[in-house]
Amino acid sequence: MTEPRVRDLAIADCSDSLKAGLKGPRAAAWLGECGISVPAGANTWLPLPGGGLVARLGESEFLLDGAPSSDVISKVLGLLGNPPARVYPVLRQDMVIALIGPRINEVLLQTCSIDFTSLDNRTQLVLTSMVGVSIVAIPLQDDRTPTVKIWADPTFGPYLWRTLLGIVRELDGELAVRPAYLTTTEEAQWTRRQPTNS
Amino acid sequence: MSVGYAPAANLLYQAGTRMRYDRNLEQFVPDALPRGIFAAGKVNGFYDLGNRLQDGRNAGLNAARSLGFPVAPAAVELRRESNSPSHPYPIFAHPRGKNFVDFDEDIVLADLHNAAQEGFDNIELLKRFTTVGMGPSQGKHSNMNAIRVLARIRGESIEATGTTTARPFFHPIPMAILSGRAFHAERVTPIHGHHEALGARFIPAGQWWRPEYYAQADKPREACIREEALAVRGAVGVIDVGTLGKIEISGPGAGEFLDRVYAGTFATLRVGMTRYGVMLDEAGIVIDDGVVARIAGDRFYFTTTTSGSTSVYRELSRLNTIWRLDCGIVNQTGHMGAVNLAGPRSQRLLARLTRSEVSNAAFPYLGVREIEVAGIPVRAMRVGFVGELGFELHAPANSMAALWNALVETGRDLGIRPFGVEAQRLLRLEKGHIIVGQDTDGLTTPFEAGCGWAVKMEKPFFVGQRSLRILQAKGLRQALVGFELESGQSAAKVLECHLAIERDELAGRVTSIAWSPTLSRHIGLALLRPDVAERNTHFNIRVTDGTLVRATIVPTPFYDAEGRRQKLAEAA
Repeated sequence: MTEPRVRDLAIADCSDSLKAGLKGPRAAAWLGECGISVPAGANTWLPLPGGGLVARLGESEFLLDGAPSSDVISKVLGLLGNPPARVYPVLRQDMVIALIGPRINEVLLQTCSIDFTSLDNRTQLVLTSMVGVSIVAIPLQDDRTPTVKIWADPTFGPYLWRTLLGIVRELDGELAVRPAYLTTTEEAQWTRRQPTNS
Repeated sequence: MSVGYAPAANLLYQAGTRMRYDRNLEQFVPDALPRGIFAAGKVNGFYDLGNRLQDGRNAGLNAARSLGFPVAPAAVELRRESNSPSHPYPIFAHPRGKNFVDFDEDIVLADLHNAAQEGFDNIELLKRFTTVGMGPSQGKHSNMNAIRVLARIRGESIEATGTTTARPFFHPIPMAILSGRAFHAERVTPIHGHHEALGARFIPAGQWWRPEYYAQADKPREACIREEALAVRGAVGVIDVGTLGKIEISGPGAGEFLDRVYAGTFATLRVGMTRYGVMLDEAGIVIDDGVVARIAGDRFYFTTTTSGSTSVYRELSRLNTIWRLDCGIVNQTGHMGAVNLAGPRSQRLLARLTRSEVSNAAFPYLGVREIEVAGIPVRAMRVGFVGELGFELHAPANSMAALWNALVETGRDLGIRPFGVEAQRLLRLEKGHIIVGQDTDGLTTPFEAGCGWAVKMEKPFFVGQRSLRILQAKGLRQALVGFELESGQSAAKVLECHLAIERDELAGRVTSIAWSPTLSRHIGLALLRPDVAERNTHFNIRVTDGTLVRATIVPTPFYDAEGRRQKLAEAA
């Protein structure tokens, strides 16, 4: 698919991503045993090898999200079919929306009380409320295309999508068709941005 | 009108400050400040600028000391000012115009006199009856007026009259905030579009939109609802129950956890079976109910009411943070969908769509099975909220459309019919099943709601048990009874919340009422005084036009009292 040009503000439906959820006192350790780098603290995230991300939603709850072809997430989902003790699978069928472009803050200011410009967009995520719906939001700022990805309960999905799309259109934004997964390219950019110990 | 000064004491009140009325100043001043709270300025009765500045310094020093900073205590003690800047009474009668007390709400002196004459002569009642102090300024100028006027009406002191309760917010919300977007979050189930395509008329249920009924050309609403109900009784119906709370709990402590949060016993529930559960608060009041299924030895799945899903999950998470039992609670409400397939032909329809055995022997009443239906992994519970042979089918949200389509298409020759919330309410009423929040109120115990059978008082502990013991010793405050109405025009006038009257006294209220097409009569539930519920065979219901309608108390269930229909397979 040809990647359309996002002028300055766009919205995309990324709900067809592959997702896995888990929680429990052994969830972090188990993810590590699966070869996945575990975010160090609550409300942080890390990229997954090959694309996608693992988000730590609390001390003991995780969300994995990536492209439908993600081998890592497929493997985790398979293993969660027979989880070890104190690891509890969490069914994730979230509505996932990406706000894309330099003007996304104009949408965020009207819909959410969090100041996204103050967040560390390399590691931080927020659990907050947007247009009255509980969401997980991750800012994915890079040199090229600022993006905020939003996960929400799917039963709020039609309302959330309709509301955000309406605001984006009011602001002369556009509907993007590119699923905004954290791609390998974005992961590479993320890696370049990591502080070095030198 | 002369309001005088009304210093901003609201935050002090909210902090728990005891105030006293100073007759010299004609205002309330702090009498005892809570620890760590300091007041300064006019609220202390200082109006002279020099005094106000010094009072502020004193308060600041004292606040710093209370926080542990090494500062000397306030050294300058101020003398009370003795001249009141305010008149003791605010109203100076206007010879021709109105004597306003509250400009916000256009309340005049006569309004307060009338309210007191009607018996609203307590400051809290006066406020609510007249709305004095409830306008945009939140009583900043009118509250003291009302207190002074009421004190004079009652011939009492200001202290005896008292003040209203100060609550947040102290300041009105700025227009800049109100001018932003107004959001009203809405939820729909994964098969909402299918309901729309079938002509559903939707009603709100909290944040949810649910099909009330499915409209048909040239048929009134009531006819559609009755046809849907009769389809369930005579053939098979399907209803979207995806709004129910759906929670999974796993781990070695899961059974004990459920035994603590529900009034019934679940640790001994057999794997593959379900049981009705009623949940109470600490006061022993019914707050939720649902079905608990044991999927595996250390794994349970349970439903909550539509309105209760969020609060129940939050409360259970809170409780386990305290109890620290070895179990994990997962809220699947939005990520799982559910439909209820109900009616004598439901078993035959399900059998067409699954390779699993769904006969009575393999899948008994109250059983739970994890099966594939139309190739979709489904958690099936054989329960009977509407009083028929039926299966509640739970599946991931993204497979609900396929499941719904398979049921509707495959059941076409069996007469399958989607039914909405109104038909379900009627069907469950015929069965005498309660709806928490409709047939119970904020004071109803399980014994009063007729579900005392689901309470196991002999358990070591459950939330609300201690209160229930106390309430049991006191006796019932009310009792839920079934009733019937004689046919006729007046029966149709009876509505939910109409009052039950016994010898000209209030005896309770109607909680549910409907015309039953299956039974050909009006049936209902009412919460009555226990003496009326136990001794009477009849009671009167006062309808909207004031007339009385006679109701006959009857046992429930109204329909299939032996519960055979939900247990037996369809007759060959």
